[in-house]
Amino acid sequence: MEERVQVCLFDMSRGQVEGQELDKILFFFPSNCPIPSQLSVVGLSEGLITFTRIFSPLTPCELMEAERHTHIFYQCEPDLWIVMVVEKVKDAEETIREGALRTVLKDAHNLFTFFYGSIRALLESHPRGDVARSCLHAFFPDYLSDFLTGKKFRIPTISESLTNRGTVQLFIPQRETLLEIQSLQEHLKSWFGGGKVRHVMTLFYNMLISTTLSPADASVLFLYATVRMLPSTHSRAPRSRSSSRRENPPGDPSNTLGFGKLRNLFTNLTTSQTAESMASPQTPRAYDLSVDDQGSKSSVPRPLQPEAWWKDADGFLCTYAWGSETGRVKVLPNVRLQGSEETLNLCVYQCKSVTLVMLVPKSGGSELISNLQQQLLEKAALRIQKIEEKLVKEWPGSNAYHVAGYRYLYSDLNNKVSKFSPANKVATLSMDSLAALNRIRAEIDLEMGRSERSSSLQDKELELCVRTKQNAWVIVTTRGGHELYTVQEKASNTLMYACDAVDKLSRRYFNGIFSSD
Amino acid sequence: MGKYLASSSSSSRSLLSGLGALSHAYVEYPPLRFNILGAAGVMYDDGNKLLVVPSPSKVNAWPVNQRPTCESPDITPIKEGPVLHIRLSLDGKILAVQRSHEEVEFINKDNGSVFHQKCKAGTARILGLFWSDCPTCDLVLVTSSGLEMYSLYHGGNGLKLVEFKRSSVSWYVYTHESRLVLLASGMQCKTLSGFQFSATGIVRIPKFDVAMTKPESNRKPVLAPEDIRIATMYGRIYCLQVDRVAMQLNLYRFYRDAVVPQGSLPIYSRNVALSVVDNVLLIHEIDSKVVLLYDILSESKGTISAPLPLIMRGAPRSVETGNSSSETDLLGNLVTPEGQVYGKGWVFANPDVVLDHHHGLFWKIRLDLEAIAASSSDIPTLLSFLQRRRHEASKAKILSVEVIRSMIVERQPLPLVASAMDVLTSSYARLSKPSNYYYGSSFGRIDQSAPKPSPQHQAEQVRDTPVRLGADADSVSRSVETVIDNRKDLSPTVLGSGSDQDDEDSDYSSSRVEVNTPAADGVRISANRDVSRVSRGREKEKQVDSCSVTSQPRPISEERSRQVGEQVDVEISVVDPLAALKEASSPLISPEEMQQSVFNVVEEEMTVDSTYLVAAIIEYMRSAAAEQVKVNSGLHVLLVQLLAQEQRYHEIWQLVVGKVVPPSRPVAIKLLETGTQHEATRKLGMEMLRQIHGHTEYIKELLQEGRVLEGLRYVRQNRVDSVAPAAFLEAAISLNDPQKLASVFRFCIDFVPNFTLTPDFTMYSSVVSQQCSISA
Repeated sequence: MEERVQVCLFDMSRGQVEGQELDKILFFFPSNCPIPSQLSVVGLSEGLITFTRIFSPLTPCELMEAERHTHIFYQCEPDLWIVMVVEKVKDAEETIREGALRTVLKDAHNLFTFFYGSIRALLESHPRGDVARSCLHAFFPDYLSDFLTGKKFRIPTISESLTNRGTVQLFIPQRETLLEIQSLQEHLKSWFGGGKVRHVMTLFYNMLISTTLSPADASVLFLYATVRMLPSTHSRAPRSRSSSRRENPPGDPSNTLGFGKLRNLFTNLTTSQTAESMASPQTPRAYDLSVDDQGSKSSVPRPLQPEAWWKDADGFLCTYAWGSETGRVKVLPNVRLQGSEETLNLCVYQCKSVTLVMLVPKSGGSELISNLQQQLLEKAALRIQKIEEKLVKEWPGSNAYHVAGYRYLYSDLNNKVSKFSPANKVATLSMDSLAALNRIRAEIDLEMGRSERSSSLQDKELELCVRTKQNAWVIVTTRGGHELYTVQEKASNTLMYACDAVDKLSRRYFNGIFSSD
Repeated sequence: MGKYLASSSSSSRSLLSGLGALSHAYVEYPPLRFNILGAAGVMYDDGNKLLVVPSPSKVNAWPVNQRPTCESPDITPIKEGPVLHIRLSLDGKILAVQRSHEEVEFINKDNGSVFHQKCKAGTARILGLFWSDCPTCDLVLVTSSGLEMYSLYHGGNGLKLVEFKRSSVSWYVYTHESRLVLLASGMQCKTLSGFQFSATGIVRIPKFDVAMTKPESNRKPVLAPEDIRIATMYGRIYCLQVDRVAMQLNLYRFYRDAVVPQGSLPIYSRNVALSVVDNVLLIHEIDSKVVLLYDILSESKGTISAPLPLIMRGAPRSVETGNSSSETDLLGNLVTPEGQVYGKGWVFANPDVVLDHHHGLFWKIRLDLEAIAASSSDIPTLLSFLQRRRHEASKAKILSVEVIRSMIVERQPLPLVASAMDVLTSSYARLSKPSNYYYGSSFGRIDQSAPKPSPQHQAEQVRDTPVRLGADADSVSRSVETVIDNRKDLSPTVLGSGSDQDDEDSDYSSSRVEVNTPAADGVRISANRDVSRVSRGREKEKQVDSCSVTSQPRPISEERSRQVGEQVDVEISVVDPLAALKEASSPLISPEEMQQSVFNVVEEEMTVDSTYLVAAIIEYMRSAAAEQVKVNSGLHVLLVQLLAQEQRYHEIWQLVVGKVVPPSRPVAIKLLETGTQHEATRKLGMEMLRQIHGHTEYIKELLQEGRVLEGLRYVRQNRVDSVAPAAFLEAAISLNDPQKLASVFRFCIDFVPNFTLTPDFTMYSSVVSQQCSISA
């Protein structure tokens, strides 16, 4: 049986000699796909890219719609392409939004470089390509497993039209609390004088409170934290928490937001043990071959290995995803930030709902981390606890972002932040409205994609109002890097009223960014 | 007295002066001289701040608050005869001269009339007397059988007995500052009872026994009046008792109806003297000639700084001290033993006065805040100490600013900076809010806050007891319990006096009382008042007599609080930080001053990297937010600027979105400025301008971006009339788009009233037709 989805990552600069085409392929999913069909995917893609390059040298090919498949192309690094082939399903209303899938690929690459550095760099340092391949093989199956239910590949569907992958969800506490957190972050950064803690990120459940990282790095780390670190730690305790806080029983916000869904998905997966194509945590690492710079043999980390994080008694989160050196000693998780060569270690502390992620240079050695951990426990643990209490008090509940009468998605593209109606409220929308929204989003993606290419600095400003068959209004406004998608069912009949309602929403909740004046 | 030997003590003097830098308390040269021939002793009238020297036929009085002290005394002629005690009435009109143990003579200074008063109980001896400003009586005679309270007849020519409180009295202690009289009774004189003659009436203090350590098992020590001292610190009234056997100083604090032991302080010399200078307790260890400084509000309970000698400042030939005033030149030849600190004739009077009987000198003890600041290593404690200073407020303020600045320049650890900032903002918040004036002007005598110590305070007491008191711990916790009970009992009576502050720390409220209630600390307020009066003009010079302060406390206290209010207003509009610091009348540092004198200065000096400075500013903002002190936008601008220097744009965005940096015009403009390097930040600035309706700047930005039509929509929507139509037209012309130009022109005709009549119309209509014809 053919898989519904194929993902291939290949390097166009490799395997130029006939007969060595296989060398181009760095990763192919599913791995059991016969070599000839792998080669045919690569061959077709390469052909298309080379052909379209004649007309558009910079952005050759993005999408190919065939009768039964959709091919999505993403050039993640020069000459390095990720191609996703998705089979079209006849019956489903599940129209694929190409933009959503491309974000899946973008996220994958961002995460990959976050953990391993750029693929090109790996290829250059190890021209045989073995290291890059083993890294990709350690990474991608885990990443894709999040989208698998049983054997079925579950691609982002229209029911997720009101979420935005690759963005961060913010929770803004009271000014006083936020200042406390800012101050705490500065304190953490200042210890060991000279700022050995490069960056800090503070999370409340699965929402970002504050970070010193750039938006791009923040969104990657945020994604990682929400799909891997937090689920495995928070999932140990949520029941006791919700029972102890009677005032907001559905108060676990992780269930209400997009990634909560992923988490549930992933827990289902591991409990049922149906993902036979994935390497389960117990199986020995299959790609244990790499040799690092010092020449010592070390394992390739699997940062996205499911259930690889747990919380220690002292409140620090630990993982074996990066393998363990000589028996029991844990290897510290290490990451790289954009535009920086420095390898940083992750040090994660969790106090109930608050998670602090600190990035410490790897060059500092493991003593630095243990020193930091000790200092943090001695000097900051109490403060963090107080902050946590304040945040829990201030957290207005899972429906905080719900605005009655609207289902919306707001994204700030510059800062990679989004805010949207709670999932349980979005679920009340009719499929028809969602499908309409999905189509409009695809249109907007296309439109914004074009403006992204055009060199003009001016941001696209547009407004699109659509009335669906069932008298719902889907209204999209974009302005100065902000986007607002709204769906109003049972809205009034006229366009004017519907637009006024959006204007009201904008003025009330978004400082009137979208109001035209 | 009056004859000084030019002795050869210059060597010892220079030694003393040499120690000048190493001292935390000093007496300032020149002292007030009162060498009167035939003087029969010297007295200090603390009610009127008068130095009184009786001579056979007259009474010489010097007001001691004036600077420079006037040389010629105020003279009242009296009949010859023995003089035991002299007290001038609080309005300065009647001089009471105790002639014997039976009789007091009263001299009306206005008309010279004289009347006499004997004590009521025939057998009793008069121990002393004092004038009172409480509503029920004017004069109190303390006799061996009790207190006799008299009021003056209207004409001031006789006394009427109002009340007689019977109790046997061995000796008594009274300070005008506290309005409290303590009466000692019993075999050992260690049972003390007290009355407070406050402006609200007479309050009876419950009897209490002071703890006295027995020297030997079969001997019972007798408490002497010298061993008891009433001290007023931060508006709280304490009884200090020197226990020479146990070598400790016991502290008792007076509450409205309880006396609570507050632990003890060690003394290191059998011969000690006590002073209170600017609410700081000074224990003079006479034998070892050093002073120990204690601040009762300090958390550490230890001395403020190391024991160092009391020295003389500004004395002739003491070049080292560097602040010798011009008058010393006149006395340059007087190198005499008068300079002897802790000389034999020294008598310490309440609160900070030293009388030198041998040489006829009057000294005032002062604190050297610079020296204390220089020698202190615990910065938060030092800052809270400085913030509590009132005598030399401007100096304390400058020092505080310097301390915090050098802290940042030296890149001290952030937690330390944080606690220092907390000290500054909490004292600022406490004393600058209007609600506190109300609290202050409600006239508190024996500790307003006394009957309601907060649970926190009690906990603190109980926690501290085992360390400080050892065996006495039990008794303390017992008395703490009584306080708790009292609190319950008394709460109805407290309601009138700001019970909304009930849950506040009693420390806070009492220090508030201290600041705004003149009668609680007569010396300080009258000194301050003198300064303000003098600066306002000399026409009120007569009133400088502090009796006017103390006899009518209520209006003055209100005036005082108004003054503080004005001063806070002034502080906010301050432009030149340094000048403001020098004129400051309180050491509080406002956010504006913090920005201008600390952060801006550090930033300009470029000595500290921006990362650290950002952390320090955030620390200050955190601390201010916790105290609900508003930080001015200048600091926000600086923060944005520093973050932008480090290209931490995303953090700027977070701060703005989280309202940590609230929207304001200066911040918006800074964001636009920063935005030249970072587009998203510029947009953030634009959004902020829109939010705060910064129409003019917003439209200017829009036009610069060429978003002319959007600008017109904005103008119409928000009814902006501050931007001239020509600005839009010019912007449209520069776009070189005839269609847009025509739209703008049309808009002007349609919506700008009388546009067709302006010269703009004729000018631009030709431009429009020109451009349109070209494009056509």
